[in-house]
Amino acid sequence: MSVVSGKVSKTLDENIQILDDLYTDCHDVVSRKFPVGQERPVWVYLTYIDMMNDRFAIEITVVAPLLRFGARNSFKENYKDVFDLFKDSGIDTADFKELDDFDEIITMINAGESILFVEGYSKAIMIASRGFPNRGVNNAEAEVVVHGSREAFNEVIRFNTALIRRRIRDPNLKVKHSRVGRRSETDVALMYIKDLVRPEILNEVEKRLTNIDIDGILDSGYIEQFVEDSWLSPFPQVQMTERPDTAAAAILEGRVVIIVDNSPFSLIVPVTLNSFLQAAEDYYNRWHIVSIVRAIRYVAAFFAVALPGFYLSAAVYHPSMIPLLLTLKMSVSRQPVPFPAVLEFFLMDAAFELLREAGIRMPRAAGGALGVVGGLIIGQSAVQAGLVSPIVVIIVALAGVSNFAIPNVSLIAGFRIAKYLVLLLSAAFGLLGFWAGILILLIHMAGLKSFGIPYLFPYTSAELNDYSDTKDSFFRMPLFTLKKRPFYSNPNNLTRMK
Amino acid sequence: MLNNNMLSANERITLRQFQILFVLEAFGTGFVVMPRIAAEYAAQDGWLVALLFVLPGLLFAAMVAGTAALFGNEHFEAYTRRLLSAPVSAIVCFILWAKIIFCAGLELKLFGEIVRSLLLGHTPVIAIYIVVLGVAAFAAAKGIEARARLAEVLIVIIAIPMIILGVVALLNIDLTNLMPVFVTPPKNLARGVIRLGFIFTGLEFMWLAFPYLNKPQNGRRAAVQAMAFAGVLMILITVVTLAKLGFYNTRNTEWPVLKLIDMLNVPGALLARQGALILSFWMLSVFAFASASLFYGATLGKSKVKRGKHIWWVIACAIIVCIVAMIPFSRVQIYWMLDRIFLTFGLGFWVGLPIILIIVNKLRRSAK
Repeated sequence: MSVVSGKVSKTLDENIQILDDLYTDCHDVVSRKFPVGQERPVWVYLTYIDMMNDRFAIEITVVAPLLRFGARNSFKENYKDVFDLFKDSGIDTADFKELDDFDEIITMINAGESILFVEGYSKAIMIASRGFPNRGVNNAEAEVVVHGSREAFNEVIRFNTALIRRRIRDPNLKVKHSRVGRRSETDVALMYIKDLVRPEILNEVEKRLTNIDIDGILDSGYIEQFVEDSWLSPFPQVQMTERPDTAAAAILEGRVVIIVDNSPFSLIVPVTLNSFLQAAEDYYNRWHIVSIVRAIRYVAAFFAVALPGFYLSAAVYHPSMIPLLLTLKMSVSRQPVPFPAVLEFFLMDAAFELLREAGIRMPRAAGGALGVVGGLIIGQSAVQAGLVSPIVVIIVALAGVSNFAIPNVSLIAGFRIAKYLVLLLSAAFGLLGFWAGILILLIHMAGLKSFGIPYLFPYTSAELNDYSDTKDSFFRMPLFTLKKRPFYSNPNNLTRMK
Repeated sequence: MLNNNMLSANERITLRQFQILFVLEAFGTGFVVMPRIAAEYAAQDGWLVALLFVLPGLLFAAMVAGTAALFGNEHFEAYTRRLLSAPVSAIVCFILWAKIIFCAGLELKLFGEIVRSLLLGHTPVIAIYIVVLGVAAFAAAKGIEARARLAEVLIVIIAIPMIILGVVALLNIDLTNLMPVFVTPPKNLARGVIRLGFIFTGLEFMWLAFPYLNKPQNGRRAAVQAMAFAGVLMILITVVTLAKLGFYNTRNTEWPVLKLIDMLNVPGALLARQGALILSFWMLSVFAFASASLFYGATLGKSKVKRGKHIWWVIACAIIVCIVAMIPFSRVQIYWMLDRIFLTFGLGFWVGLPIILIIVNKLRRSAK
């Protein structure tokens, strides 16, 4: 958002006046006007926002060198261009830039850079000095792995790009910056490998980012919602990750990573359902166990969506499907329950969701106590009070636990919503409703795309990449067999391994 | 608006997807009565009827697909109008549309009856129609690409349990039920073959699917392969049903395939009555058939009338199918009608139309 238009004035006081007007009541803005030189001193004006930059770096790279330089020199006629002199000999840093546009200068000040105005020149020097307070590189919490890097992104965009750059030392790895948000002017970086990314996908990502017109972007979640293909879908169409190794792996697959300042989660596009069911450590372990774990995740995904619905349809409409002994036990356990089975499910599920939500918001120390209260006391009491039957507790718990076997939080949220659709249709129409619910989900996913890539790839349309992607889907074949990059990659550069 | 179809070609399907769609959508509910018809005409030689049906079936598939392939990605309505004149094209398109929609209505009615008698005895049949048509319309509205991708998933979901059950069924069949062989007079075999035709209610869909193929010039081969696969499936099911139930039981059971399914029991399985589950897998193919009927009905209607959005046509077709399904026909009447429709319009679209189009196309070309 343009707040000041026009060019920098040659008169220093005019520039100071503009900044003073603009930053009225902004007590975090630090500014100082001081003379440089003994005879015929040149006045300069330095300004920055406190704690947005590295104050110590400014002192030693700008203020001290300028004052020393001034003490040694006096600016007589023989100095034709003081501005260039300051740039070349008065500042002890390589990272600076000339600016003459006030709008850009303001943006830089707000971003944490320092600006030096010089009397008599209609331009200023931007000295790179960003240095926000940050929490450093911490352990990943949302995507925990047993085997592999512990590092996680933090809120500083440059740290995050560096964490990826450290893993891919290829000059073709590009970091393209832009700003999104009229007021927040949030830095957004696109990271990709130039010869691996599909140009049409990159163009589309850039186009969608450019189309965002909002006053503020406070987290990558905002960007996710603006660039996704279908806002109606409960399923995520952008992959969020807090792990630099996951982001680096995605870049090596020809995907685009979007890093947003102030957010510890970066975004990966395009995605498929398959990509959400893969974890970073899938590639760090041997293929046998990974393949088994992958299969378990798929089963867990099915359980999370379908188990309550399937149980309900079998128990209510088609009890003959259940072995006789089990049917009898279930009937006995259901006898004291005064509610219809579907209501039982909703009661238990509501309790489970409440506990989950409370568990997320509660202090960690209280989490264990919550687990005991929820799992043991509420579950047990509900059964003893005859509000729900034990089998429903088991089914709801199994479906809930299955959610946690899915490695992506956004996908879990999608499955949680989908579960209710299947449950309701099963409650109304038995197996017919169960399959109708599953079909609705499958139809929806079959029609879904992420930046042009079918969501169900490579379970469908796998021939587009000669079925190569199927080797890394339901099972993960040995690494040496994954010779081709996935379908998202530039078709001219599909060979990953020879 | 953001471009949503950058990579996968919009409204184009691969030959493999076309084949899967054909296998999944070609059979209506007639699939479950097929062994009964075969047994009615040829007793224990019923499998021979199925086998003999496959041979002309391949020829018909080749004729339809070969003719459609001549016109590449041109739509059915466009080339019939170009070759046969606008009024004739309008009549042909209307007949095809009416056949698709009416047959879909009859098949839906049969499906409703089956579901009510085996799974949902107390559910009003209109509710079953609404569920099936709602889901089918949702799929049809998503377009051919989504339907093709869905079919790729469904074929796996349906095939895996069917193969397991098929193996179990094969282990428990009594092949003496098929003896003695070759005792049926050729006339009966021929009549049986003709009557089996209505099973493939979806063969006409080929006319309307070709414009969406990414390589229509190779479509004929793909169609013949798909038909061969469907034919083998048909023969296998007939053999297994006859061998398991015997021709007498097969002939006197209304839905012998469903009875066969209900009799299957996989040792060690967690579920007791696995037939109900398998039946539900079969339901998926009925959903697919219904969605194909709505999709092609809507496509054809829209291309002829040239007005309205695809989704509105899908909804309109779904309403008409539902109305047809609610007409109080008996099952006997329904099978009789499906037979008659096949023998008149069905054969017309399988044999008559290809011949006419090929001749007119050649004449037009030579005239040029």
